[in-house]
Amino acid sequence: MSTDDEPLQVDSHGSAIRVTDPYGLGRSLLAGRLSSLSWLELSLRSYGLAIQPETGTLLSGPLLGTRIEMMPHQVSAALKVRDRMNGRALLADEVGLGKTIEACMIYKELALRGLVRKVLILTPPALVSQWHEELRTKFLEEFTIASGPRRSIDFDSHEKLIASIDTAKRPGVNERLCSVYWDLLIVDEAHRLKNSRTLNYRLARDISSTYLLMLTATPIQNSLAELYNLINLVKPGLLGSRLEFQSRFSADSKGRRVTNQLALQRILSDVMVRTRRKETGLPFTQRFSNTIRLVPTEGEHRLYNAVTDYVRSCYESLPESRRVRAAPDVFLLITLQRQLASSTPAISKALRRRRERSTPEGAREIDELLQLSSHVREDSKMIAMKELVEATSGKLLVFTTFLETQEYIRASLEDLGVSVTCYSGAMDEGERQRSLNDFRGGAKVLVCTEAGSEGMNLQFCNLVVNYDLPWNPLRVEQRIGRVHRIGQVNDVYIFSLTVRDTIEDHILGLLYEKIQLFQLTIGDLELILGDEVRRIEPRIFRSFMENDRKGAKRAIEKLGLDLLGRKRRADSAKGRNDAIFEAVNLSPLEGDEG
Amino acid sequence: MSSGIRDFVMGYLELAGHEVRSERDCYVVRFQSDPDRIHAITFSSEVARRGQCEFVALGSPFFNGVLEDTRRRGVAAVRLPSADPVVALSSMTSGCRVVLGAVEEVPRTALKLYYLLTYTSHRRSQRTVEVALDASGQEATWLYPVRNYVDDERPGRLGAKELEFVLDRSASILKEGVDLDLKGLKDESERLLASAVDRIQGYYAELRDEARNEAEFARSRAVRPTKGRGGITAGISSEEAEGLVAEYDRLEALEVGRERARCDVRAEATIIGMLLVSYNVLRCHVELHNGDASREISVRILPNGALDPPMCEACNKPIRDVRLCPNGHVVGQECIEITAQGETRCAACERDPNG
Repeated sequence: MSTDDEPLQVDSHGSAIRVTDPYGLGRSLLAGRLSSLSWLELSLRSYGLAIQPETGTLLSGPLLGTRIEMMPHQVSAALKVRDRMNGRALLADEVGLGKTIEACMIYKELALRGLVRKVLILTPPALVSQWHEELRTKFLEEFTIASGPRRSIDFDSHEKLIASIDTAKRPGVNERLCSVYWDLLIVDEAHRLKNSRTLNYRLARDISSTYLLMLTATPIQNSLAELYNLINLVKPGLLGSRLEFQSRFSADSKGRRVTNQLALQRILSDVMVRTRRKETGLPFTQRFSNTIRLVPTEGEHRLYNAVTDYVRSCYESLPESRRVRAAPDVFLLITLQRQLASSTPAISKALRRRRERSTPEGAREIDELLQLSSHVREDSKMIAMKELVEATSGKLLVFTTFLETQEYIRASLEDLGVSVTCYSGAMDEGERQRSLNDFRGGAKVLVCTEAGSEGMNLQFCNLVVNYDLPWNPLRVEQRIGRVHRIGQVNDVYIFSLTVRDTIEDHILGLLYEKIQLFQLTIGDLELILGDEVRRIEPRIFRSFMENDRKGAKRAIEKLGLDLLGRKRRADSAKGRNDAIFEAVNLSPLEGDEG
Repeated sequence: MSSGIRDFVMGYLELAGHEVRSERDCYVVRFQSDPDRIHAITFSSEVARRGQCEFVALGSPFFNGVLEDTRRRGVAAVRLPSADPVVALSSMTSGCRVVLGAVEEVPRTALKLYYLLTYTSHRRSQRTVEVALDASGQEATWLYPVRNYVDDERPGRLGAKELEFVLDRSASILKEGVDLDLKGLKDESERLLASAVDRIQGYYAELRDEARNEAEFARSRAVRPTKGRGGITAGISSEEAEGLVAEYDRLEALEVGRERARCDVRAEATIIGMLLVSYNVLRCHVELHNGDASREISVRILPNGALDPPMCEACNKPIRDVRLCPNGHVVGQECIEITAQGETRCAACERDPNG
């Protein structure tokens, strides 16, 4: 009988009606599993709660309101996309206004209304885990990350998928994604689809979906033609043919200036939302970066040189084939080098672990390093950290990558009588929540490992300390982004501790300061670095392993100049967008009357 | 805070027998089946923001759990008390005396089905509807307004085949309403589709023209075909132009197909509740008296007091206002006439050769 998901076909005059019994009520009736009338009445009431007209409010509003700070421009954008754009839009807010949140709000709204079940999110590889985390922690949505060999990705059993664009493009995966009809497709950093002849573009074009959200702060990188390509994905044919569009709206041959602004605004307002910072009325505070460059003690200096030489000799002993970017050996050596820069307890523990797996000869070598580490009484960074805590009156958010360093900081500061709380991936959800509550309450210092850099909003604090420094610039931004985000009302001060003449010191001086990393938001970084972000860490490492000290500095400097060039190109693209969208107003905050 | 959500969840907790106590700003829930499982919940967003307890709202995990559990229990059985035959009969007639004779109780079963109707096109609308049928598949419209149910501990049963039959019948009844609803939606959706298809077809027609013109231009000026940047060809061969045209045809078909899918109007009926109704139909033997004339008739009375009316012996239509003519014919008001002289004329008598 047709009481489960089997439809009852009563399509006698062309109007198919599908009858489903998702809760198996027919089976219960036949089996005599009956409830009381009160249960039935309660059950019927429950459906009434979810049937809501589109009344200018978000059904998801009450829930999301407790988990995220919903800004008026985000709510307006979500309503506009839901009610006036039929769920297909280019979200092009300026950097830092929360496009990801906006897209997730729209998704949650469509899902609560039962319009969306199968969702695919395509992001740059570096942002996959961030999307996953944001959806999990802020929107209570468990997504599956599509990764690994193509046969291991089960597209049929997962209704909610996040895939990097690179994974999605792979032969085999591409075809599978295109063979499914998705309810919603979200493409983050959609400027990567700007060229209609690229695989990225074709992928997005060939994936079928009812609703489509494309996110980018810079829909125009070089010319108006790129905006044309993106809009054509959202609403094919809206702008006419390419030549017609160019002749109508492009004021110059390169498509860098726009004409007929009002006509363009009218057309785009059906498919595009762009809020500018100045329209939000939100306070955007500044960031001030302070590098505390420390002179190492004699003991630290000797330990640093000896361990770096050890790492280099391990690297040189690797066959060429195992020196590739993702090789486990290289990863372990990078980690060792970073532990060395983090703290003496971190490197000591790592060395002891390595010793357990070493040959007798290797163990002797490590014993010598451990001997050197035992001569370091207190890290210079810890002395500076204590001074910083004593010199500041506000709450301090301290980041380190390693658990040993976290514990070292906690113990050292508590000895000083400072109230410290910790937050790490090793803690369960309840412990983490308690830790955050403690920090909101009486604790002066919160020490976080990288796990703490995603999914936390700590706008009540405005002092950030990088006790050690990630080599990946995105990680640095994710740390700062915990406090410097919408809702922060004070300027943010970032203190980075480095020891002179170490790798970190060069990264900070020659790379991060050159591109003014600490001033950049995550959106800025994506625009600047693109896929390069994945190559930076191994490039830095190889620079040090394959050169002498001077050569390594030169290599880092070269990398810095490379990034600087990218930053300048990104800045000019931003400038072009600013100029064009100054004239073409697509803010959801205005024009709600329509 | 939505009081609808709070009332619903509190109603659930009470019905499920979970222990609930108010503690500061939260409600602490201890689950009956698993006393170690304790949840602190709140319906106040302000309290939730302080991070003390779990916020319960549409879409929150706790609320979703409550919904799931509640909706699985949407099947109940009830018994309807029988109607009072004297009261029911008092509405039946005037102009003749009614004497109630033997009353026989005939047990019956009906099923009341509750549906959530969902219409999806480019947007979505939902409403709930009820369909009530007796076990023979006849629509039992009288059951819709009835509310004085009593929980039934020993309900009548419906077999699998009967249930399937009743569900099929209910779907047919639903379909009539759905067709009406769909018509308006379809009209709007077809307008949207036509405009989208025009847009897409116009666009690809232009692209095809451009490709052919490029090829024609290159041929007439003997321009050597070269590919320009950004996908625009500066001059293309006829073969390349035809290749492009074929690609545009493919994309046009793809886009039009997608628009059709987006504008496709679908209706889905989800069964959200089932109410098995046991009741008795009263078969009453009634004597009608008018002067010397008397007749015995049988009347069925439903639990809501509605009569299954007798048929007029003159016009063969059901009659509410029953009359008995001096010759003993049961007729309706319209088939009986009292003349100025006080004589009664009955349409049945005029036809009756013995009248």
